[in-house]
Amino acid sequence: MEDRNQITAKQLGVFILSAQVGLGVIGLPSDLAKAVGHDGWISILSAGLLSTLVTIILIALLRRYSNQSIFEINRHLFGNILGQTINILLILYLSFSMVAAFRYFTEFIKLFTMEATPEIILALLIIAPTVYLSWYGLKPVARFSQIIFFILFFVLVLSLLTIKKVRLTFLMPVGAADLTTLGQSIIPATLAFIGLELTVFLYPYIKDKENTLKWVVSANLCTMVFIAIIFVVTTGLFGENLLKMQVAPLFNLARYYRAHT
Amino acid sequence: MSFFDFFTPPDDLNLNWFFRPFIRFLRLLAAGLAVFLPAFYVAIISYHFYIIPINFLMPLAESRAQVPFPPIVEVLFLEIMVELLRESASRFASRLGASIGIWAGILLGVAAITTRMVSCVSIVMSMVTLIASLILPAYDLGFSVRILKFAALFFASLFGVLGVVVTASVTFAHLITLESLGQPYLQPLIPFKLGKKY
Repeated sequence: MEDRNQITAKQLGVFILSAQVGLGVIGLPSDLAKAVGHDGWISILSAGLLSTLVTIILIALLRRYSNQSIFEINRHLFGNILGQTINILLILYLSFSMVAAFRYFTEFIKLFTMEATPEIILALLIIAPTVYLSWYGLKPVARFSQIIFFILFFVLVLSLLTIKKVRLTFLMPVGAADLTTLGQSIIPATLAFIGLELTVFLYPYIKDKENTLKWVVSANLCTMVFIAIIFVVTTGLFGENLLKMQVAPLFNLARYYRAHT
Repeated sequence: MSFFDFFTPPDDLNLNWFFRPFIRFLRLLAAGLAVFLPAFYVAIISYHFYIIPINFLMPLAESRAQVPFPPIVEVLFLEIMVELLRESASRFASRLGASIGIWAGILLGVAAITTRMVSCVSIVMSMVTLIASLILPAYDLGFSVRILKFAALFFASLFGVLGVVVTASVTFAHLITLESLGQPYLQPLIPFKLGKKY
């Protein structure tokens, strides 16, 4: 029981990477194009650096309470009643974000593959691997999230295949948006980096705590680079105005490519 | 004993280093085909036929149009026939078994096509599946591959490619939770490790 919840810092990094590069990346380019136009990559980079800063602060704070989880820290700091209230809010936040992501996923699959199947049956089908894995504890979940590398590899190959059609003139007047719109657009860009806060909950289960900072920060930077690449490729391919009208630019990128027959 | 040991029988170690990865990847491909090819075929034929290139779609539709059954019935019929053949071939004496397999395979295949019970593409698909599952070295792995093939077929007929993906990920999840002698079952791949294993 103890053993199967222990993970290494590397696995935590991979887990956070897979939580960040989730469904959010499918719709992110069009949201950013609506907010700032073709300068979205600047806001992605600044949001990534901001979230890296947040990571460093979080882990430096967690180091002071080395072997306690966030729930114990809250009770320790705020007292019993206030601490438990904050804990309940945190648990509600986690459940809410899980349900929201799951619902989004179900809706997406219903929209693009199975239009006629009722959602509840799709949801039951999709949740089966999740339930099976989480039954066995944290370690298999963290191991399973290594599958994210296959997905990253696939998407990068896809963007390499379409790179011939990418026009850099779509990105060209760099910094055309003024500073206030850029600053406001950091908020939708930061939504891509959600998943970072899992560090706080999983910190007491890490075996080698001294490597945590390294792996979590590198996962964060990986996400930043990946999302920036996706944004540049989709903007260079479709252009700012077409990107604003799309629901799922990454999906359209996969549809756009035609193999030579 | 890890998962990848099924694909490297000990006599492979005598081979040239250049051929060993090739034959190992061939066996992994065979395992993937043996489990998921019929399921993908059924899913694509019945739900996602628009991903087939148009040049191939027309002969496929021509051969499918003469068959009165839905794809799942057709493929299930073929797969059950193949399983029966395999089982009967292993019961007989070895020389008789081989000849029975050949005769029954050729006769049944030709007769099934000429009576238009199954389409030609289904026969090709199911024979590829049979050959791929005969490549796998260990009997235990072959058995679970045969069972999984039917599970994937069932979910593919209900949910299309999504069913295949869910079956694959549940199987993958189960393999991840397994441990043998304290070592993870998918050892060099899932806790990713580079380096010498022998």
